This record gives sequence, C-alpha cells and structure tokens, in this order.
Amino acid sequence: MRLQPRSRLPGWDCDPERVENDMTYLQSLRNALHEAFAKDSRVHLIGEDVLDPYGGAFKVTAGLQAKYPDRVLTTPISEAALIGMSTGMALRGLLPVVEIMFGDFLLLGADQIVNHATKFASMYNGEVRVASVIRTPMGAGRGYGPTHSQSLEKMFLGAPNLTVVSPTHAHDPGALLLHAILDDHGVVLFIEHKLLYPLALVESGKLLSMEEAVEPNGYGTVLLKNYQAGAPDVTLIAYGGTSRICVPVMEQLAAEEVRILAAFPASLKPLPVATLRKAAEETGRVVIVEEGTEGFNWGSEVATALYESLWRRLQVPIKRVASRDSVLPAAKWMEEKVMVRADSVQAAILEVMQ
Amino acid sequence: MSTLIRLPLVAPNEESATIVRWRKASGELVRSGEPVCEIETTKAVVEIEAPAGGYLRQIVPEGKSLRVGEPLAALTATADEDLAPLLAVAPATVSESTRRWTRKAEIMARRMQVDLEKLAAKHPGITICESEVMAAGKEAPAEIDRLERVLVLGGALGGSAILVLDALARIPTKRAIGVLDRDPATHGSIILGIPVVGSTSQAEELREKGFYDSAVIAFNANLRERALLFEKLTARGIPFTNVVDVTADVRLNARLGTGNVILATCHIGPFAVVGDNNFLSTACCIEHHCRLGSHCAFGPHVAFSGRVTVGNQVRFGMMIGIEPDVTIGDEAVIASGSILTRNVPDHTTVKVHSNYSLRSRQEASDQASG
Repeated sequence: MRLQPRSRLPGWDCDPERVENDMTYLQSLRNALHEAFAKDSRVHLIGEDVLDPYGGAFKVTAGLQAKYPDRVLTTPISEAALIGMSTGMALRGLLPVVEIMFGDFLLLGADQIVNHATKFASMYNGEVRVASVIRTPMGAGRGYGPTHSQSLEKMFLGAPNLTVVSPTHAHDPGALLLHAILDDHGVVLFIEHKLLYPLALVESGKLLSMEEAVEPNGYGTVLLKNYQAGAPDVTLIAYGGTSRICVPVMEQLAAEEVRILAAFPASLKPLPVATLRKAAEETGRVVIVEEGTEGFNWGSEVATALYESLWRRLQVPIKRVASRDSVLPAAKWMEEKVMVRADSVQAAILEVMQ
Repeated sequence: MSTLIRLPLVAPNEESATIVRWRKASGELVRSGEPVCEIETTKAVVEIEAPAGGYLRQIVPEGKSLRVGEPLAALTATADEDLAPLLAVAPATVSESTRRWTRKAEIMARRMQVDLEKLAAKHPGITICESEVMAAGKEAPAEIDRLERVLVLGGALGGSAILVLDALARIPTKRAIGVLDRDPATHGSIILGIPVVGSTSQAEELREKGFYDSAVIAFNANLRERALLFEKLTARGIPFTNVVDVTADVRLNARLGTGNVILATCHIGPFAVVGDNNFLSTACCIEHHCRLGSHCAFGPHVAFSGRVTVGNQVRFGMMIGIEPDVTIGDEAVIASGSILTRNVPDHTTVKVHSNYSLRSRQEASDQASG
C-alpha cells in the first residue's frame, strides 16, 4: 500500500469577502469547480437553479456563472432531461458536471445513468466515451423530510461501469472532484453530504493523525488514527457524511484509551479492498458505518469482502451501523431516532472490543 | 439586562447572510419590536427586529457576512456598557472527572480477569488506565509445573533468533518451542534444532491451540515494529517472557518488565529498572538506579554508569559508554563508540566523527621503491 501525506488544493480566490480561515468542505468543492473551469474549456455545468446570485441550493456553484456565463446551464425541472443532455455533451467531447439539487431526485434520472450514460462506451465498442460527473448532496439531519433527506447511493452501487465517489470531511473533497472531472474518463456519481458543507476539513493534529492511501483509480482512502503510539483496538470503516459523527467519536474515545484506526474510502465502488483489508487486519475488530438504511447496503459488501479475505483472522464478527430501515421523518426529534447517531457508533465500537 | 441579537436562520438552505443596512445607530435607544437592521440572503432581504428594549450596540459593520447564530448586535441597559463579558465565550463546563477507570481499562480488566474494584481501591484518587490493569494482570501468579515453552518471534534470517535460542538452550526453566518469522522463505528451516513453524501473524492462532506458554521477540532491526508487535499481542492476552542468559547477572532489587532479551554476561545493577521488550546484546551493563524504558535495542558492550535514564525505542550501537545521570529521550539513536556526557533529547541521533583513516602499505612501499 502506498501512503502519502494529506495535501490540499491551494485556495481559489473566488470569494475575497470570505472571512473564515478554515477551508470548509463547501469551499473546497467550489474551488475545485473554479479550477476545473479555468483549466479546461470543455468543462460545463448543468443543473437546476445554479445561476448566480443564487448559486445552487447549497451554493456549491456560487460565482461560477458570473465568471463563465456560457458554460453554466440552468435547466427546467427534469433530472432525466438534464442527465440525458449531459450524456450527449460528453459523447460530443465536452466534460459535463451535473448538479442534482437533492440526491433523492437522482432516481428521476436513474434510467439515463444506468441504461444510457454508463452503457454507451461498451455498446459502441469503445468508439465513444462518456466522461461525466453527476454531483449531488445526500443525507438527513436538517428536517427536510422523507424525500429530501435520504442517502440513496446504495441504489446505484450495483450499476456496472459507474464509479461512485463520496468524500468525507477528512478528505480533500475538491481534489477528488477535480480528479473526477478532468482525469476520470467514465461516469462518476459524486455524492456530497448536506451536513458536511459548513464543516472545516479535518487536519492532522494533536489528537488525530492522518494519512492517505493512494488507490488505483485515484480516489484515495484516508486513514485516521486517534492515538500516537501502540496498536489499534478497533478498525472503523465509513464514508461520506458519517465522518461528521465518526471523527468526534474518535476524539472522545481517545480519552478512554480506545485506539481507533479509521479507514474512509472515497471510492464506494470500486471498493478499495486491499486497503480496507489491511486496516481491518491490524485489529481483527471491525465496525462499518453508513447513513443509508440498514441491510442490503454498502456495509454488507465491505463486510463480505473482509470475511472472504480475513476468515479466522477476525477476533469478533463485523458490526455494521446504519440508519433504520424506515422513512425519514421531518420532525427533527423523530428524524434523530431513525438516523445513524454518534452513540450507536460508539456503542458498536465498545461492543466489538468486548 | 443585556441581550445578544444573533443572526437567525431565515431559510433552511441559508447558512449565512450579509448585514446590508443598519436602521439604528450604535448607542440609540430602541423599543422591543423595532427593526434595527436589514440582512440579505441569496433569496431575500429581511428585517431584524429588536427582541427587547434597550440601547442598540452594533457588533458588525454593514457589508459584513455572518453565519447563522453569530451575534450581530447587543441590547444593553446603558449606552456605554462594556460588551466584553456578554461576548466572552462561556468557558466550557468541564465536568469534574468522577470516573474511576477508562473504558479501555474496563475492557482489558474483563479480558484479563482483573478485579477492577479492588485495583481502584488500591489506587485511590486516580483514574485507572489500561497500563495499571495490564500490570495487575501480570502479577497473577502462574503455576509452572513443567518447562515454560517459549515462542521466538522474528529474526530467523539475521542472527538475533540464533542468539535468543542459544540463550534459551541453557535456561533450566524454559525451552524454545518454535520460531515464527514473516519471511515465508524461512518457514520449515531449522535453527539450532528449533523449527521455523510459520509467520508472526500466526502467533494468536498457535496460542489458542496451546502450542506455547509465552513469547519473546528476537528481531530488533525495526524498533517501531518491535514495539507494535509486542503491544498488539499483549493486548490480545499473549504472555511474554524474559530471556535472561544464565551468565547474565541481575542484582538485588533490580526490576525487569517482560519480553526482554538479556544476553551473555550482561549486568543489571541493584535498583535498576528495565521496562518491557528490550534487546540487550552481549556484555551490556545497566548500572545501579538506571531506568531503561521499553522496546530498546543494544549492540554488544554498551555500558551505563549509575542513574542513567533512557526512554523508549532507543537504539544503541556497540561499545558505548554513558556517564552517570545522563538522560536519553525516546527514539534516540546512539552510534557505536559514543561516550555520552550530556543528555540526548527525543528523536535525536548521536553521531561520532571517525578519527582514523586507512592507508595501504602496499602503495607506500611501491612509492618508496619507485
């Protein structure tokens, strides 16, 4: 496994008014879009309400249309149409980035992704390529109710030729997005998380140390430790928005002398099995966390991959933590009961140590 | 009574807003419900009303952008009241630690069958940590009615496994049972009559099968790895043992941890304290009252004078002398031939400048005859 120190894109000077010094998840993505637009004139953005000054529902595209008025296209409300258009653009040699306002709406464009965009390269015997990125925020926690809060990425993990990427706030999300736009020649589903947007990116510090394992497809796996010396007790595997839960849990449990090695892959599919196996082997005690509903999910696949290669070397059965198999309520106090939570992650970590 | 006015959440997707205009000047008396300023989100301009009466005190200027929840103004009872106490972040209330042990200590106590209540009673006023539990676990008396079977970890390719096996061969209470090495090329080979039975990753599996009673690490090329392996296996309940050559001398009141290799004619002076998992080559001297940490490696003939203190994962070359009272920090590396008279900080390498050169006599005689 090749490791590299975590590095980040230099800040893009698109918002001089900005007062915060900390690089947030949102700002990192914004910077990446600006950088991609500056680097390659084939890059276009297409989505709903993405024009300035509104700049998209979550402001990821802020400032882009003002700077590149011809390359940011706002569309009527039809996800199927705008994903289909992006596939056409990609077939003709452009590098489209699609913004789907809420991840829940992705299903409206699912046919375009599964039956068209990801199939054309094979159906036309490699004579065409579809290099496109479909960005969208998933996740609950803001009381948006049953159809604006889900984590539906698991429904796309079985589509052949589709790369599914979801950075945590311990990644450099902008660098991953830039790689997806400029260097990945296939269709990339790029999953962001609503609650990560305002968070400052995690930095190595006194309590946590961080490395990144380089993966063959360029979407690295972050390895985060809450200890300085000694062997880890538990391996924590998670992706995307659940880092906002996992990182504080790691900080709390550091005081309890519970040493946690976290592996946060950016690439949900393909799965970086070698890196995850190595991290799991260090402890033989594995907890897998995700925000999607329990069962038939990403964690099932990760657990199976680990069982296949680490049979008998695991100390205890793998523990999966996910949201309940339920519709997400809009009322916050009920939503909390359904969602994956810090206390359930902590309980799982302590359980596998027994 | 002073009140802070914070930036409200205007719409669920608007995390921040900009103060576009102050309607009331700083120091102006306002009534409850009066609009004091206008803020702008990406969707709309909204008025902010005073939640109470008082003197308006602006905190941020027009044009400044704020996040939801950040204070934009205060309402005070007088026009010139000091705002500092109001703005000062309330110190996080640190709950006085009443817990008696950490979660890890609790888990390890259960794993090692240590009575945590008794242990906590023995150490009143401190939070019991993993290390206390591990120490208590070690104290449990082990009934040995036969030779202790020792598993040797690593060093099959270099010389270190040979050194450990040679020492073990003379110790009357112990016998080597096998060697594990991560290099598969060594598997199946025989070293001093003892077979290399597999890879170091099989240590736990073999323990479960009752293949050995205790383990000791032979390799010392990579001290970090040596430390990690020791800690990992210890955490999983694998007992380590000291391999002390019969010609080595451990004097009165000297204390050894576990997992140490102490080779021929070493001397551990009275009241010296040696940690865990150290590797001392032939003829090393740890004099009286020295304190040696853990996971250190020594070449032959390293001599400490009295009251020397050494940290963890320190590597010593050979023929080294250390004056009394010197302290050496963690992960220091001390070159062969050093004579240390002063302290060495953590992560420091001590180098010795060579004062000899090589001269070929052949060349010299060629020149003389030519």
